[in-house]
Amino acid sequence: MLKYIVRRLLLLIPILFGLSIFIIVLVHALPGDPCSSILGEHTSPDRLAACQHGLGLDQPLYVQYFNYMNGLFHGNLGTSATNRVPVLDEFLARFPATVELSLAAMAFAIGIGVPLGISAAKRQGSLFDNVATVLSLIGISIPIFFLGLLLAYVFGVWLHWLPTAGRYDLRVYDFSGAGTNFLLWESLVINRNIPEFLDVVRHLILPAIALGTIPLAVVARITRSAVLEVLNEDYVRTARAKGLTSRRVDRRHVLRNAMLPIATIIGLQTGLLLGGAVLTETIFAWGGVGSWLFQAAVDKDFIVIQSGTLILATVFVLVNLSVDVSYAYLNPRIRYS
Amino acid sequence: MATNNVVLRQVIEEPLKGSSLWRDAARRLVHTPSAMVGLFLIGLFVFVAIFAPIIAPYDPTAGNIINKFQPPSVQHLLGTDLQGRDILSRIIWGARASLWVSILSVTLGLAFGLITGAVAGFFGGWVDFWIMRIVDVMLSLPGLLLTITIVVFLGPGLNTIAFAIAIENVPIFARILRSSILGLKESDFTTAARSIGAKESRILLNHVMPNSLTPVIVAATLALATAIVDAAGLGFLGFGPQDPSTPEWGTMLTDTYRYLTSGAGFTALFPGVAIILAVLGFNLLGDGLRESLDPRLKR
Amino acid sequence: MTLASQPDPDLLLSVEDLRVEFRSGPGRVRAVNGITFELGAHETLGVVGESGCGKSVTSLAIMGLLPKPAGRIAGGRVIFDGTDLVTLKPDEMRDLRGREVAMVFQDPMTSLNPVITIEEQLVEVIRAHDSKTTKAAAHERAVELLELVGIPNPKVRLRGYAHQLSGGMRQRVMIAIALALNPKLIIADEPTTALDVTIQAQILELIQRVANETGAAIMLITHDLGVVAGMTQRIQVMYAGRIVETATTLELFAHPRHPYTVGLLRSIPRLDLGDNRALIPIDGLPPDMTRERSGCPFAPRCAWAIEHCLTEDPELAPVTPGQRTIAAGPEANHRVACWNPATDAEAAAGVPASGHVSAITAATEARAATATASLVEPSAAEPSQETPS
Repeated sequence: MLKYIVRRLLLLIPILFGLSIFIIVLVHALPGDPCSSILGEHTSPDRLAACQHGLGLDQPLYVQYFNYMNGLFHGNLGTSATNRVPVLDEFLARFPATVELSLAAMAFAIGIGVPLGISAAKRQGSLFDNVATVLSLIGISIPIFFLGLLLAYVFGVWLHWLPTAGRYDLRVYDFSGAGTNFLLWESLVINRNIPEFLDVVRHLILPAIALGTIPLAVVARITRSAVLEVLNEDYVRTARAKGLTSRRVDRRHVLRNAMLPIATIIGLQTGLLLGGAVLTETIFAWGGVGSWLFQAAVDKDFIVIQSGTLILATVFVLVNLSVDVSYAYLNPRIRYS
Repeated sequence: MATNNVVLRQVIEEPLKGSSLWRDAARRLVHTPSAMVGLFLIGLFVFVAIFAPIIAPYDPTAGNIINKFQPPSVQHLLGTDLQGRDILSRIIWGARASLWVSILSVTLGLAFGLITGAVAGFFGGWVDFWIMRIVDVMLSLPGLLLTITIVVFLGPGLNTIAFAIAIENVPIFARILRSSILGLKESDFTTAARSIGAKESRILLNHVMPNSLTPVIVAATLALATAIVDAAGLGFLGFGPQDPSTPEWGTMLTDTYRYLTSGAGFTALFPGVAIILAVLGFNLLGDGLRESLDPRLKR
Repeated sequence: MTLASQPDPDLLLSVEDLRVEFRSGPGRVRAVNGITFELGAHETLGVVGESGCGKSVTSLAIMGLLPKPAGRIAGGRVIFDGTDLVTLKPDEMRDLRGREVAMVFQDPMTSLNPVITIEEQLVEVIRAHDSKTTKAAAHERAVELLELVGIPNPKVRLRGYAHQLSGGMRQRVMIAIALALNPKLIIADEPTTALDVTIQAQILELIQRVANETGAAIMLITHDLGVVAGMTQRIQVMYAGRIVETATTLELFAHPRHPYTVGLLRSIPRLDLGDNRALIPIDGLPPDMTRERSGCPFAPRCAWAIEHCLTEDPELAPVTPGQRTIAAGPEANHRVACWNPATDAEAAAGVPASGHVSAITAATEARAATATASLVEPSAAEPSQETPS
């Protein structure tokens, strides 16, 4: 198992290498640069040249790439051209927000999607199954930003039930103390402040639902088809022939096997959340990685785009690796080969 | 013996014959209610886009700021927007933008993706290896972020959005076509076709291509859905057409978002409903196609 | 029907006019069409027929394992040990499965759960019916069972998974699972079909041995008369969802009466007879079970068919007219459902006596000719036309 993980981690290196070349070429092949964004369109050529020289943009591409990679090997991810904050610092400050949001969204998606898929499969062809199928198709078809808008409108503007922006109530609470930026953890475990924790939870609900709805629909659909497939397997018939209770048949035989494809799709969806987070974080003013990279793209902030994308791709690959490891745990045929 | 040979030929060629494959699929498709609902929604979407000038009750660009954010009424079925323009008319005209972006992006993505995938699949070896490594790299990027970056640098507008989405689609189509070609190249029926003496080129053209295209067709249909969503998302973020006379659903929702707490009526959310219906149409059809094009999936 | 009220100690299973239907799209498939048979407490019964003849469906119906919601018991009774299983409550039926009646399935490759250990699959059946059994006791029993079915190194094997075992070993595990609670009846559905020929004999020998040791009755379902020849006491031949002939094994092999049985016997190689007779395949295909029809279902493929066969369906009746029916045990008499049974001479030749070419046979041949011709046409050669097994 350990060997497998190490091999996968080693495979990550060429991918990241290729990714860095791809991004730097892409970003430089496209017109425009950060200086024109920083200085505005009506600046003098001299100032533009000075700015470009300051950022090293006047050097040939391979030199820029070499300098950038050299920095990477020394743990230097570069510094933002617009606000001069080191990329790594900014990332570390914002990443916990995205992690909390993604985990909440996945918890929502799995917690509802898996039971929904199982129930639909067990009542194949029933009204419940058909309604669930239609709902999950609508769930897949709904744009994240529109869902976010809808939720904000209904629960925020109309019903006034839940906050629609930020991670906590700035007027009441202060999270500058511990600085982990994992606010759920900080409020509950470090500050032991229940009202504070509840406030963080309340802020998390709408963005998590917005971000989690597509994964929910996907997970429900995959669960349904996986369970249907397993229900037709011979070993399920064997289990019934043993006279096991239907609860035991479902848990030990049906679900245990259906978990294999479900785990795969959960991993893929978790990776995709990072992309979806751009829109969700923008709508709900969530200070995470998504809104940060979005802003960097708008500012044409090369370094932030390059490093940020590399980090996100690494996270994506690591998430998939951990899914594959759990897959091997679930599937003895892989574990022992 | 002669009879046996005829039967063998029938059994081998039957599932491969282009015409009957498509005929069978079409027959199964017609009997899938969800796919028919999907086709209806797509038909409605295309119809509205083409005949927008005729069906739209108002000029989508004409409006008076005095009439802003009017609730639905007999004159304005869905009310008016921030600048007093008729929301229904703007939604109807907006179908054009969505249709254009989705068709352009999928066509471009298909063109490049299929060439890449076919080259990788047929040639194999190191060509295949390197193409697939590039595909891996592109697929490990968070999708929307790549699109946004490209659009930012190329400048906003429908065509750049379509181009950016197309780039996102290239590796997806390439990988699907390649894996399906690889699977079919060594499958039993290719061997069977070879064993009855069919020429290699004929095998590829008549047997491998039609069969490897079915997953691509399904993926393309679903990609049309994704393109509409992504285009609207980019429009929502402010990268849509900068010319206000071209209504775009995502862009319309930006105003709704900005004035959510200050006057925007619930009908300002209706561009979102239009997006859902169009996307749902392609998703339903894609699902139906997947089931009807691939008899093995039938249960 | 006095069987239920006065249980015969030697009688274990009595199936009365069992009918099973499957919904298939708009139509219904009558998979089992009113079969009646009995099984003695320690008897070994072979059920033989082509795929789709209803033999597996019969066993699933007895076990209460018909695939839902497509399949259902449309009529009849299944009296097991004095209880009607058809009307039994689901939970009582569940408790009966595995404890009183156990089943060994066809494909050991897919019949064991791939992701949980062999031990858990054995232990769960033991503990499902007796929650008082401790884990340790269940483990002991599991080791004992694997030893009984001849698996070397049982303690190591218990910790392993199905994919680490060969097909034959997996089938031994399946048999161990079936034996776990000393059931009164073991139904083995094509237990050797998926195995190598060399392994087949070992598995059959094992089933026979454990049946002798535990005193369980065996219902061995197969399409292969060769498999049942050596190990069953009695055979019943099924065709199109009904029993067409039944007799003790010796009697059936010596004096087959039903033309279908004759055909089955002539389609397997007989080394024991020492002659080099050509194998004669049975022409044509089994009937479409979704259609209601009159007459004997085998008539269209039958060389012995007479006019009567097309109009009225023959009942299963003793070969010697007027004889009292004895349904089970070594005394069971030879019964056949046929209007024009084969004679010993005809059975030996495999064809009706010369001169018997009735109008029906001519018509049948004409029909068979069209059927063969239509095979060449694409419509008939389409794979979708094949009935799923």
